[in-house]
Amino acid sequence: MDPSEVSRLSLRWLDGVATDVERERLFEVIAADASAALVFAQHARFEQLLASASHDRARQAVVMAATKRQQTRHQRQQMLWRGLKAAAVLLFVGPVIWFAWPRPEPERAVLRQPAPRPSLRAQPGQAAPAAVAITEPKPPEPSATLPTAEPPTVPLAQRLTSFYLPPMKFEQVTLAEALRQIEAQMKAINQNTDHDLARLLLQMPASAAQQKISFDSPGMGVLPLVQAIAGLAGCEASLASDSPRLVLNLSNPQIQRQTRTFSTFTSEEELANADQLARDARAVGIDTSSWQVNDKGQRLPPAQITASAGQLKALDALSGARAALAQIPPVRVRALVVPRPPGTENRELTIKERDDYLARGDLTPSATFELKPGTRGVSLSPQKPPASQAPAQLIVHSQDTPLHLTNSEPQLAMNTPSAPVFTLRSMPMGNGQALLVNASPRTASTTGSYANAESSTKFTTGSNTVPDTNLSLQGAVTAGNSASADLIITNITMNHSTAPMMLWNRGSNHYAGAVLSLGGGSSLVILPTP
Amino acid sequence: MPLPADRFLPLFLACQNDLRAFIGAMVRDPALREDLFQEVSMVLWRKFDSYDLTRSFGAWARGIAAKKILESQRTQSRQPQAIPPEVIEAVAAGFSQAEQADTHTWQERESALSTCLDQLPARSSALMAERYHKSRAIEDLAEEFGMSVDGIYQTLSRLRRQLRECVSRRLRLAA
Repeated sequence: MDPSEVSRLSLRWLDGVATDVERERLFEVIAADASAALVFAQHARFEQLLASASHDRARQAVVMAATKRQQTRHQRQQMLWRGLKAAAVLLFVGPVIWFAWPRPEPERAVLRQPAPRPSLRAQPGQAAPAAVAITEPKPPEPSATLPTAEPPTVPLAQRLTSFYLPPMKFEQVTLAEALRQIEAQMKAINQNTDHDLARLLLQMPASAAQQKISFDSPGMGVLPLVQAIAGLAGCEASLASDSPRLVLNLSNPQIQRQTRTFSTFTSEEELANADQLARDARAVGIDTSSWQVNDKGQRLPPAQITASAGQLKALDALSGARAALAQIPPVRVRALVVPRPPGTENRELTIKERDDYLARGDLTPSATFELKPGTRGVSLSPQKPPASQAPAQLIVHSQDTPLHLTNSEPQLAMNTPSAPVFTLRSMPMGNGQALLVNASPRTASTTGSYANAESSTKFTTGSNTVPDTNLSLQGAVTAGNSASADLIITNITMNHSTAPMMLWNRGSNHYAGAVLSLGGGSSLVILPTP
Repeated sequence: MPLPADRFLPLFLACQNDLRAFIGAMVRDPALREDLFQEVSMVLWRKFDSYDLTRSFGAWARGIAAKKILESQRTQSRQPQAIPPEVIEAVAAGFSQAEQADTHTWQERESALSTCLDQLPARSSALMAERYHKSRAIEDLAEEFGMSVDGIYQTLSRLRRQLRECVSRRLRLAA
């Protein structure tokens, strides 16, 4: 059969609109012709790719919307609070000043309003994406008109450097688009909008906005990342000293090319670093084909290389990011199951809540692990459950959904309202065992049946994101309801990029942790050990 | 010697989308698809000890999925039109062939597709989201978008073709 006809029939079947005749014809040709089966498989795989990408995009939209809602709510609260404070000051202090002041009428206090500005502004009529401002950099505005910023505990440049974004790959995208993507990432993982980052303004020359760049970030801070891609687009990025603004200016054309010298690489570590440098150099478009390759297959830079100033800047940024990631200490994290706090949604813990949980002697961690920033996650082998834990807290649930189990034991299948992508099922497996399934969002209302399995069975599937907390759980959460088979977390992967961000975000070098609703009166608390 | 448990997850996560695609291609009922996927995952875990590391994990998983699909056809009323075993087997072989021919990871393809989806006009983007995120039936989409069923089908086909080409182009560029 003509491949285009196989394609047509395959798509009609996959779309659910094939007639009986078309279905019969399709199956006939698939059974008879391996190439037709291949065409069908390719279409089916692409359908899954579309579904998977669409779910991811929807998840990101949820994160963005939640962040924006949080930001708006916070701004409103902040304005209201400041208004109330100002009114109180005027009510009580005003009369005192009025009567006590011996001179003519006192000057009124100038109330600063927190001017709510979008983090990255758009100007009408510009071709760039709406969120990004393409403006010729202007002289700084007078400080009195700037939005009031929280007193920073560390300089903004340092905070922007240590605000890590996940790995991002740009392939021939415009500078404006790259910055838009950076902004989106930044907002998605910026839980705490109460600081300068939420108001960060970015300015770039219009002539550079459509410059195309390619860059593969391994996970970098916002500032080095912007500096790197700005360099590749022929710009220099610097932070304004008077307000949260990142300003991109066109580079001086006089210094288009620069030379970099390297010393000899001898130790194994130096050779590995040099090889990484070669890969990074290729990633920023530097031709490394003439670089020497040693007997271990490592490519080493020559004593001197010449490249554009922007390429070298991007190369420096990459090397710097890798070095910085290596410097961030790992965090010891523990996970424990607790009775669900009243009114709890999936969210980050406050520092106080974390300390309270840590101080409690009656909670035994179900699992502890080390969170290494800059790595893909943490993989844990199944652990021996602690004997002292009372696992009934986890699995005694009312039946929330019509999920039918053959042994008719209590079960859980819930879709937490605040985080619709996080779904858990707990399925008793017999002999004191239970299985807690971390499933995909679409299974929330699934009905079905499971055979009662052997007590040693303890796995499930799924890869989920919990937007409110920026935690990502992957794999199995296996539970048992007897003293000998407590909750075992076999694998937890945390979004590697969020850890440094959260360390910074809290301003106290601690990610306070998160509480995830398991439903049915239980929560999973994940918190680092101070 | 039994395989360590921590070997399972990377293998499974790498093939789970293909497994979903395979089950999805054979089972029309969305709820049943998910149930089967969960069930197959559990069987894979339980039988992981017997998995031969020299074989493709994806092919092994599809073999088990094929059996589960056949079983479900016998017992489930939600799948009224049974697919003959030889068709399921042929499709599984087609998946193996497609998997072998694919030099890109799922993440690479998804990232390329995401960029391509960004380039769609708003209406097309909305249509794709309704179809693939919300899994809306074509008949529903026709009503919502004020088009005929055939019109929606043609539009979806055209968009998919464009996206497939766009993904291939981006992956070629990346390579």
